[in-house]
Amino acid sequence: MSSDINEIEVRFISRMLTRLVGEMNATVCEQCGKCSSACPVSKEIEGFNPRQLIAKVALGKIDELLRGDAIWTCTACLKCKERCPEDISPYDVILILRNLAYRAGYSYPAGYDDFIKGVKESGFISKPQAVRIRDDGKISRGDLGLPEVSGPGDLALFKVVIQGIIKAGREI
Amino acid sequence: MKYAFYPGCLSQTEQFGCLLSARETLQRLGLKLETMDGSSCCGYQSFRLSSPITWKFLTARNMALAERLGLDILTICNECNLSFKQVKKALSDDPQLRKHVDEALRVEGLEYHAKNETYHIVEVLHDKIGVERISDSVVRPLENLRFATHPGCHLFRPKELHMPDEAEPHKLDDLVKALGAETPDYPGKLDCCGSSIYASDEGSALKVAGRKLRSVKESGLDGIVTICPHCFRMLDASQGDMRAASGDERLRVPVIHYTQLLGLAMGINTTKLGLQFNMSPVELIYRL
Repeated sequence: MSSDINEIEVRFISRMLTRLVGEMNATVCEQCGKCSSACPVSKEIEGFNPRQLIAKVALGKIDELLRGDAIWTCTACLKCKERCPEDISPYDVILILRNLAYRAGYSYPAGYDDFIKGVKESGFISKPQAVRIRDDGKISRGDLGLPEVSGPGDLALFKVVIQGIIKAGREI
Repeated sequence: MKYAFYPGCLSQTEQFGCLLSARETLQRLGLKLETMDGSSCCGYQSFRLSSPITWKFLTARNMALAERLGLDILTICNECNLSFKQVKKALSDDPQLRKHVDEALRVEGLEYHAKNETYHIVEVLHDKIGVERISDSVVRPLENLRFATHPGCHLFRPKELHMPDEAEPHKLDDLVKALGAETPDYPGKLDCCGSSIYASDEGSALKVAGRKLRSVKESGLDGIVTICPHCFRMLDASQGDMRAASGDERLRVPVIHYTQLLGLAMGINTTKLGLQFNMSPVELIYRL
């Protein structure tokens, strides 16, 4: 996949993150573990642990995180952020890492690309589909008497606008 | 009360039960719902990570469309609602972002002036229509039913934004109780359903959702009531996959969207509420 930023930039941003999160970890975090004990993913997925993830960032092991799966396993439920007595948010650090992984062209779940493609093609993450019912068979919006989804209007213009704003985002 | 109705991607393209039941019950409660022609995905599920500015633009674009109608937005999705809240704040905090977004909006002849409010369906049902009027609309009280409510994370987190419910959410419970059913507490009630990693890590999503289902089963409750189309899909439509992945055949729990449950209590027929689309054994609820 293509990348917005090069290796040198990734290393620079990683170092900044390590320094910032490291400082936060040393001065603010009491290592109480409330983030990890609250995490609904940690309860089911062995090896996923928000507190350890933050510690890895502080230790400079960012490259490993950017190329691994763990940052994509967070459900963004925000419970870690809610429970932290010091208002630290492992979630926000994970979000930064996800952005960085994408921009560096490392790893990005294919499912997300399908959503982006869907919006560019129809305005929605996917096209309206005929849907399974419990007793067998499929039913579409038309069968239900629902009007067609209007979509974003002038689709060609919508696409131009989307391309423009994506480009503007890269240049900021 | 009239709103610009913004159902979001999921209920418009595949989760028709959420859409049908929300429209049917809200209209019977006297609401006027204006279709937002020209609307699109809010960007939260699509562009938020790869291009944050495109996410914010898409949400702003939908707000601008509602402004053109002169109406506040009513959304039935927890994620879209969070997106509206976050983007509204970002646009007011960041003039540079606002400038880029305004420029892009102008291409389609749109303007955003932060004039309209956005309400989640729980706020409209609980705070605007009110629990009492909902209770008055019941013709078939749901007595002897005990439900696990699943408000969904982004109904009440993050607390620093003004979310539809409080840090200890109670509004969905109030709304279910108004129909005559009980909502006992159960372990992990405020835990995530796993939906948001369904596209990136399906196996983990199924495990997180399975944990929730097991907890409800072990608590001896009659089913799960959700209010967000994403949570609804994860808990309802993925039960077969959860059973296959875990080998646990007990993972069979009726899951119903709140407006479907409300519709049943109002005496609306099951087809109009889209109950044929629920993949979980939801007939266990309405045959009781």
